[in-house]
Amino acid sequence: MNPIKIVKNGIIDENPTFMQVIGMCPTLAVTTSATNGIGMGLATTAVLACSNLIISLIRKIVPDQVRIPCYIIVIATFVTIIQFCLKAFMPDLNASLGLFIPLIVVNCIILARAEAFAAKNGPVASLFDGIGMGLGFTCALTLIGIVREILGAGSVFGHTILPEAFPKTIVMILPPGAFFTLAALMIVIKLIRSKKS
Amino acid sequence: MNSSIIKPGVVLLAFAAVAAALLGYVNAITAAPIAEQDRLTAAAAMQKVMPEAKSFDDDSVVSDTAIAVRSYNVARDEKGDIVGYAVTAASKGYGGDVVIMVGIKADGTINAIDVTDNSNETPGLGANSSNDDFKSQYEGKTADKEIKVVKTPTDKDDEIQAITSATITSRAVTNSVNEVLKFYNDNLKGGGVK
Repeated sequence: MNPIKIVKNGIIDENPTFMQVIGMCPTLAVTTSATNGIGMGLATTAVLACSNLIISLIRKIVPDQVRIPCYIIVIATFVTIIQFCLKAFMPDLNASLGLFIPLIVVNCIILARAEAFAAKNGPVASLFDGIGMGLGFTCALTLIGIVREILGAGSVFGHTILPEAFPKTIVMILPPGAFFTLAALMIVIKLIRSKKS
Repeated sequence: MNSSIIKPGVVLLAFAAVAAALLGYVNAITAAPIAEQDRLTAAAAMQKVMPEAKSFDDDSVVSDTAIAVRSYNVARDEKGDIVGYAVTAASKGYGGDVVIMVGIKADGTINAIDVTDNSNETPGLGANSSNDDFKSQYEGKTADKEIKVVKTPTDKDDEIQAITSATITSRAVTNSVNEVLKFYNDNLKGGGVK
């Protein structure tokens, strides 16, 4: 498989959020603004690409019976190391992404891709699968974040775009708004795809 | 015992051991830089609420966990005279503790406040408590009156306007500020630093 195809697969055909519907906890919880969506997405992409790579490298030495605990040890260790390093050496990046790092350990996309792809494919393909899935996740979260932020706070990426007089629908940045937005976007995407085929 | 149990067990043990060793090593090399970053962040917050100060004394801890005043730092000018205090306080907000730092001048006037931790508040609502529009309302308030939260625009000296749909967070910040003012009246007024 060529890398571009794998990346495109992650972003469009098998988009983790809209097509596979995995990783719902961070999707619903952090998409209150476009900035949060992009932050969570990029942090996940970095971890996913690296964890896929490592898991693909160790896939032959891990016995089948204990593969899941081994993957979890690898992922959790890896995320913790990233978190320490960000805190210690990159305080600016830590201020913007640090909040999302601990959430990644419990993000099922990481384990799902380890199990579904990295455990069966070579390191290069796994790395690109991680990048593709991560970017797909980033796009989805950013899109949801943009919709919620516009309707709920009248702004995009923190810049006010709607006039003050435009009523803000506060429920959109509260938890129910996440469900509304996700459902609406899924309907739109299914419609577009069914028209195409 | 057969090898179908021993082998996976040994591999899992090896993974755990390597992970533990790696984490221990990374922790050892990052602990000092992380502490230094925390110190810099705290120093930056103090400088923000008391820009006139040239130096700050070390933390005087009041209580590590209290829902009220946690610690304060004496702010001094270049001659070493006290120009004010940077006081850290916390109150229960919507999702957890909201931690703020209040810069209070030696005469009991609030110079500025900074919301140092509102990460448990709702983004877009309570998290707006770190916006300048909200924080600047506390500037110039004095220690002789308790501050009240109201929901409409106000120009009274002892009132501040709540953030829309985030009254609980607004109250949390205001409670903390009032605790700081009380603490100032009881302990710091007139240079009463122990």
